[in-house]
Amino acid sequence: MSSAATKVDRREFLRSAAAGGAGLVIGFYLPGEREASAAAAAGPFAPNAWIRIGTDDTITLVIDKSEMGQGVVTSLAMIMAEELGCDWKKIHTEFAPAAKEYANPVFGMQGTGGSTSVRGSWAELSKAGAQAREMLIATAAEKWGADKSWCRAEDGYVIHTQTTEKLSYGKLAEAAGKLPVPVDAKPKDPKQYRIIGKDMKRLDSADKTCGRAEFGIDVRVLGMMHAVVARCPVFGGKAASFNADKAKAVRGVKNVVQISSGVAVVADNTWSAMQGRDALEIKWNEGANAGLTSAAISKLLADAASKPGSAVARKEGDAGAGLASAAKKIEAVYEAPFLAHATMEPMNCTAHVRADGCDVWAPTQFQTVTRWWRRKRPG
Amino acid sequence: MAIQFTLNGKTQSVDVDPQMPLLWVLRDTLNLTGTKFGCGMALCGACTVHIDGEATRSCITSISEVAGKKVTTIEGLSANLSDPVQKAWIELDVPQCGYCQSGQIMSAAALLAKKQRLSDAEIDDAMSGNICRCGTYQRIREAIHRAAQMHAAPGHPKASPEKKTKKPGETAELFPAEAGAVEAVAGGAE
Repeated sequence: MSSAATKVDRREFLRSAAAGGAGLVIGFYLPGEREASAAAAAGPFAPNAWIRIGTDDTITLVIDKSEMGQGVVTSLAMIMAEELGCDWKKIHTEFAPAAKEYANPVFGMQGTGGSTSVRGSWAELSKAGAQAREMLIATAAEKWGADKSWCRAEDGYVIHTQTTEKLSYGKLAEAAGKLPVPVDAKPKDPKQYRIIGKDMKRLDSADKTCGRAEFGIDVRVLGMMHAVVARCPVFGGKAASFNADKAKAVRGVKNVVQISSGVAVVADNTWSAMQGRDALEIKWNEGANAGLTSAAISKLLADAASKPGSAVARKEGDAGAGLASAAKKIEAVYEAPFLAHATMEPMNCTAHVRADGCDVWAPTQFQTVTRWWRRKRPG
Repeated sequence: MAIQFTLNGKTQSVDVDPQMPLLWVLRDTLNLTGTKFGCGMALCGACTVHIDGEATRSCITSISEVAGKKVTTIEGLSANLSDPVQKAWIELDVPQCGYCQSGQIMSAAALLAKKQRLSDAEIDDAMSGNICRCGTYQRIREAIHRAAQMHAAPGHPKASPEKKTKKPGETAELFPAEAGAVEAVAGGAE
């Protein structure tokens, strides 16, 4: 991450806000291209934050990566909770919206993959937690008229180590939100860790055990329609013509529309849309890939790989000379087939298009890319 | 014409195409989204619910077949996650992505309602129609053993004399039973 070598005084800052009982809202923006997202703080993607503490003691940690079963809700929460010093059993988590400040430091855009979540977010989430902790301690110290070094933060309380008085984070939240943000907040010494390094219970097990966890396909908007798409069996093909009469006669089907990837059937429920799709009569123009075969794809790749210099992934030493003088040579060709990602949740997306904008919910690993596509292709 | 059935203990009436699968009535008409759509062809088990106590794939069960019957979905399995299967699932942190888990839990609950002394082979057999892309199978098996212990514990309302009925089910085994190893795992779940 490049931020360590960059000046932080001007560009890095925390935003604190105490709004409508929400209490302490903390987030910060890192240097570089994400500076621009400071403007978004007041925009539609607020709260732009990882940590929120309510005056009612609720602690909400914002998870800016996609949970796909790899446990990122739990691991990122562990980083923040460790530094914040809160009670693991009282944490709420919520997923971040698509916004620049949630960009993956490794990718430079918001996305989850390549085992980057913990190593990429470690520094910024540790610091977010440490800053919140220091602000809460400073608030408590001021209330008690005590030195900050007499105070420690633990399990959602700031404790006065001399008098053993304690104040909950919720009680401190509003005043803490008015303090300037310490840009040089120090993460804990690992020797003090109480959460990191331990086998913590997953935060999402209960929701995933009673049907409450909301997946992309579960998003419901009042009065929404459901659509399915009949796609050309050949990549890149398009519908040359189609007859939708029988599809439109299916109970529940509201409309049939041609889109770039095929023919969409819109209905008031998924099953009717599927029945309508089955009833479509489509003539496909299979396009340039109509005659494509697996053998042809293999040949295409083999030809490309055999061009001199075209397929060198790594070059060390003199392989040519080594091979020329080798006593034994082994020649082999390795091929990997195309493998579909094959998620159990079928690909889906929900869009709420209004006069003033469009909300999109999707099970995606790349929130900001999804948003970019949406803007690029408003149709 | 409206179709009536009992859903999670309450009378439910829906006016939909009688051919519509129960899955879509639950998800789209009634907004009960805990039951998942995976394949629509009874191949993955994500849509499993109980119909009169039997684990059933709701994606290929038309709503007309359900008329007058008792349907239980994951939302109605228990109040406050109190079913032994749910307790064991949480204790052992079974879910990963979680998409298949409603179906896994409903299959496991139906299995345990009939029989609590289960060999690994019996569990594998009964659960073979529920697939998990994350590969949580080992923890699922462990959690079923753990839930069986809870069922048998005195005082549990569901503790009942074992019935002889064996679940008629698919025969393919997802993984071969490793009897010794699994006994140790089940014991270690305490």
